[in-house]
Parts: sequence; C-alpha cells; structure tokens
Amino acid sequence: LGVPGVFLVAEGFEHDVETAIWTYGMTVLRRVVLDGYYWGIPPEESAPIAEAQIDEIIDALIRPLTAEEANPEQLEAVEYPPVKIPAKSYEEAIEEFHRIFNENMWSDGLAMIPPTREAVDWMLTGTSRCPDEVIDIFPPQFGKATIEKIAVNAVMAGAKPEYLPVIIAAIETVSGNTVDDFDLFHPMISLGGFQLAIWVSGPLSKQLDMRSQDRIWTYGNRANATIGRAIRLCLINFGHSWPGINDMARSRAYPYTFFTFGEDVANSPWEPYHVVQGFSPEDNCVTVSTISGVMPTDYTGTAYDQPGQHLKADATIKKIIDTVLAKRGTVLGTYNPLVANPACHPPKYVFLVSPEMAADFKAMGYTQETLREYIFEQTRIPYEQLSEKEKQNVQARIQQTLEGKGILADQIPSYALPVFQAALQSGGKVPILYSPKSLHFVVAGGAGKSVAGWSYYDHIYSWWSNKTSRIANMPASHKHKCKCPRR
Amino acid sequence: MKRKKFLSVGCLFLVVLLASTSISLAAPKKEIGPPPHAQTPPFAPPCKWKGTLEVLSPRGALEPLPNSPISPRVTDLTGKKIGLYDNGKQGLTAFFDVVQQLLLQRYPTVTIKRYYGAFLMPDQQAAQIAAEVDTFILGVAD
Repeated sequence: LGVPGVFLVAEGFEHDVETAIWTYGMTVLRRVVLDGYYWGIPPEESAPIAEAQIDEIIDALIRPLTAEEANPEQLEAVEYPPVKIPAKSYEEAIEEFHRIFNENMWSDGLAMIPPTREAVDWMLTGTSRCPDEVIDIFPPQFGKATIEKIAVNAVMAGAKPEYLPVIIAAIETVSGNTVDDFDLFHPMISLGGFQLAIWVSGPLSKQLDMRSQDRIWTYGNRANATIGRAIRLCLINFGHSWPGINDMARSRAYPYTFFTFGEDVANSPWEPYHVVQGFSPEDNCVTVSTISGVMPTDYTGTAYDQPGQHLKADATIKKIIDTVLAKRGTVLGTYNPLVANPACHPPKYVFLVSPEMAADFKAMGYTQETLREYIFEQTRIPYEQLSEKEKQNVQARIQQTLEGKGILADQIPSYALPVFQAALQSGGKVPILYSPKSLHFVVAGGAGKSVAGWSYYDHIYSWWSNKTSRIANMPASHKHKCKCPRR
Repeated sequence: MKRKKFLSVGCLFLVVLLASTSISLAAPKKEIGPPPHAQTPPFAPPCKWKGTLEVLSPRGALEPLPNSPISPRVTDLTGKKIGLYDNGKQGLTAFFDVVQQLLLQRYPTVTIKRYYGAFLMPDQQAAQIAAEVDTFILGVAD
C-alpha cells in the first residue's frame, strides 16, 4: 500500500517470522526482535524493552532501502524428490532414515515405516484415485498435498491401505483456505495448543475395528492410532509445521495421533452423528473438529439414579448448561470490538456420550437435535438480566457484523444474526452459543453413564471449526485401477 | 499325599489355562471386513541388502509467491503521522504506550495514531491505515 513500516517480533518468534515472510513473499520485511518480550508481559517489564530498542525501531522506519530491499531476489519453488540413503546394512539405513527425516522436520519423532516406492504403491491400493491428484495447499507454509503424498505419510504412520480412504477424506475435510472452508490455520499455529478430534461414523468404523467403546483413549488399536498419526504427519509435512518454528503451541495432549476414534453406532440409541448432519445411514463419514488441547472434561452428573427417574442424566444436562452459562462473563461481558481476545468468542462443544447415557437421554425424550435445542434455550440470558456492559457488547458485535468490520471471529454468522437482533429488546433472550448446532453429541466411550467433552470457539478465521465429509468406498480389489499414467 | 493332590490339581489348572490361552490368542474372526489386501506389506528388509534405501519424501512441494520489495522509507520522523497497530493481546497495549511516549519525547511534532485490530489485519482496515499515516509500527501479540 506504499506506506513504510516495521514489524515487531517477540523473542522466540524469530523462526515463525522467517517462515512466514518466505511464505507470503516478504523476505525483506523490516523487523525488530524485541529481546525479552513475552506474551502477557507486565508494563514494568516491557517499558525497559521499549526504551532499549526504540532507536532500532526508529532506524527501521527511516534508514534508506538497500538494493536488495528495493528489488528482492525471487524465491524458487521447492520440490521434494525421493531420498537415497546409502548404508552398509539395512539396520544402518533405517537409523539414517530416521535421522534424516527428523533433522529435516519430516517426522513426528516416533519410529516410522520407510516409505519406499513399493510400500507407497501398496498403500495406494486403498484408493482408486490418481496419485498425482492435487488436494490442496495447507497452512501454515502452504505445501502441496497430493494423493501420493498422503499415501507416503500413511506408510510412515504404519497405516493399512484400507485406512487410506479415511485419511484422504479427513485431509480433504480440512482443506481449503477461504472463510467457507475448515479453519486449519488456528489449530496449526496457535500458542493455545489446540487439537483435532477425528471420528468415523457409519459401518466402516466397525469394519476397520476402530475403538469406540471402553478405554477409548488407550493404546493398542491400530486403526485409531495410525489413522490419527497419518493425519498428523500429513499436516506436519504439507504445512511444513514444526514446534517452535511455526507451530507455537505451548502444550497439547495427544500430539501424535490427535483424538481419533469411531462412533459407537452399534450401541447408540440415537441416529448416527453423520445422519444428524444430513448424510445417509449407509454413508461412511469422517468428522474433524478443532478442540482444546486437553483430555476431555467429564460432564457426568453426580446425582444417583432413582428407579423410574433419570436424575443422573438430568444432572449431566444441568452440568452442561452450567458450563455454557459460566462463559457468560467472557462472551458477553468482556468483548471489545476489534480487539482479538478469543475467550470472548462464543464456544462450541463436542460431547462424547456413552451408550447408556444416550439411552437415558432418549428415555427422557431427547433426540440429539432436541437435546441441543433444549441446552441452547436454557443458556439464553433474558434481556432484563443483562448488565449495561453486556448490552453494549452484544450491540457492538451486531454492529461489527453489519459493517463487516474486524476479523470473522468478531462477527455473528448470518443464521444467528436475527436471533441476536431480536434478543436485544424487552422480553428477548441473548444466546451464549451462536446456535444449537454449536453442540455436537457423538455416542462413544465406555460402559456406564458418562459424558465427556471439549470446548473450542464456534469460529475464528473461517466459519468452520467442525466439518463432516463422506468417505469414498474402497476399491473392489487391491489392484490399483486409476487410468492416469503410472510412474 | 496332600502335596501330590495339590500338584495334580495345579497341573490340571495349568493345562486348562494353557488351552484357554491358546484359544484366546487365536485371531478373532471378522464379521464384516474391507476387501482383502492379499499383497504382503513390503516392509520386510530385503534378503540381500543392496546398499541403498530409497524412500519417497513426505513433504508437500512449495510454490512461492512473488517476493515483494518494501516501501521507501520516510527520511525523518519530524512532523510525520505514525500509526501504531496493536491486536490488543495481553501486554502489547502497555508496551505501545511506552513506545508512543518515547516517540513523542524525541519527535514532539509527530502525530501518533493508535489502531486496534485483528491478528490478521483485514484489507479494509489496512487501506484505511495506509490513507491516514506516513509510517507505521506493527505488533501483534499471541
């Protein structure tokens, strides 16, 4: 736009900026690294940093451009050809393979299967799609994903060809870089250490022996572990992502496999999750959902069951309602227009409901849709109970939306805008959630009555932090049938 | 005698245990399954080591955008309008307060314009800032 500037970088984020300026074609961007600056630094500590580096900041604004800054060298495309590893023995080659992949940041740090041509071709028998087909480019550094590259990562993860359609579908689910696509950017880079929950609904979950019941998060299930790990490796290698370089998450549970599981369709008294999302019961679907990077919170109520009653289910629903209501202070109370504070964004929830608890909910008359409608209604705040600050904040958010200002996270989705507008008047009720669809119920987990789940934001950089896709059928035989030219 | 009886019962128990173990170790039969993949996974080391392991790279190719020059600088800050852009995250606003004071101390004639916005600055806001300032300092905390 023709206006000179300088970019301030907190110490520790130098590598993040180095990769970003390459990605966005701004390698000569002038920047000043603030020594000792950190997130949330108190004013008494940040003032000396400003004093020590103000000369450097001013210099960056007034120093004439160098020849390189005025006419920077153009960047070259980077391809990644096969790697030849000479060694005296197979064992030595395997060790060298791990060293090379880890040092190049192509690995997740665990032992891997070497993706030889033969192994990748074996993996590709799980799909009839062309190996060269491009899926998309993926953040943060926007490397290109092809079907073959997905298969390479799936081999490394120890997956089987029959898992490949799930892995491809999951990668396609999180593809796209517009506001109408899944927001992969935020969970891939944020300091908050967010995670993905990935679940398979439909008959395929059982066919692949995915764990969906008791001890759902423990080790030992190859499908859950390697499907999740393959997706993680794909995102590392397509996004060129690495901890402390451009993945700035400080802590994260389940870093290797994401939270990957199957829906317990066989024992669910409800319709499968994907059917509620509009798919057919015979479809196989994968859902990817951004969640907090911690183990799921237990929402199970504490009241004891009584004959003929459903106190525990009642208490669980109340606990969920109380959890949503506890967000009132941040969502409605501390919102400031144009100031990025994710805590102010309305939340979404993913709940894992055990089959027995789902049966109790059903016995109470709830389907998934009516239960989320009920919780949504119960967490709306009557207009008369709103503080003046809360009224102002809701109005500000409506105004931001109407004017199209700020980031997407500040704006109310079009489907929810009339609800918020109608709520700001006598007799109205302001929701904390954008919609009942911000609540996701998936039947999975152990015996007994339990509900566990995660929260995240309804949306940050795109409208979607939750998306479900159909999984393509496996080829009828293991022979690769695509008509494209083979190598 | 008692010991013999104990041993014989113990042996019987052991036989039953081994039998049940061998039963439980048998692979469970799948009711439904994906199409069979008859090929043996080619993961076993070659019988005769050929001296080189060749693997495919898992990495996605990169196609860079055109590399942009930066804008010519102002020669002096005297009398200039300086924008400070801040995404309002913890600590940054107080830091920019100090930067503002320091700039005003050194260049009393500058005008400081404070902007608050998102981590990713929307185009509309970028255009507005560009029209209102001569130079700017950008900081986004997260």
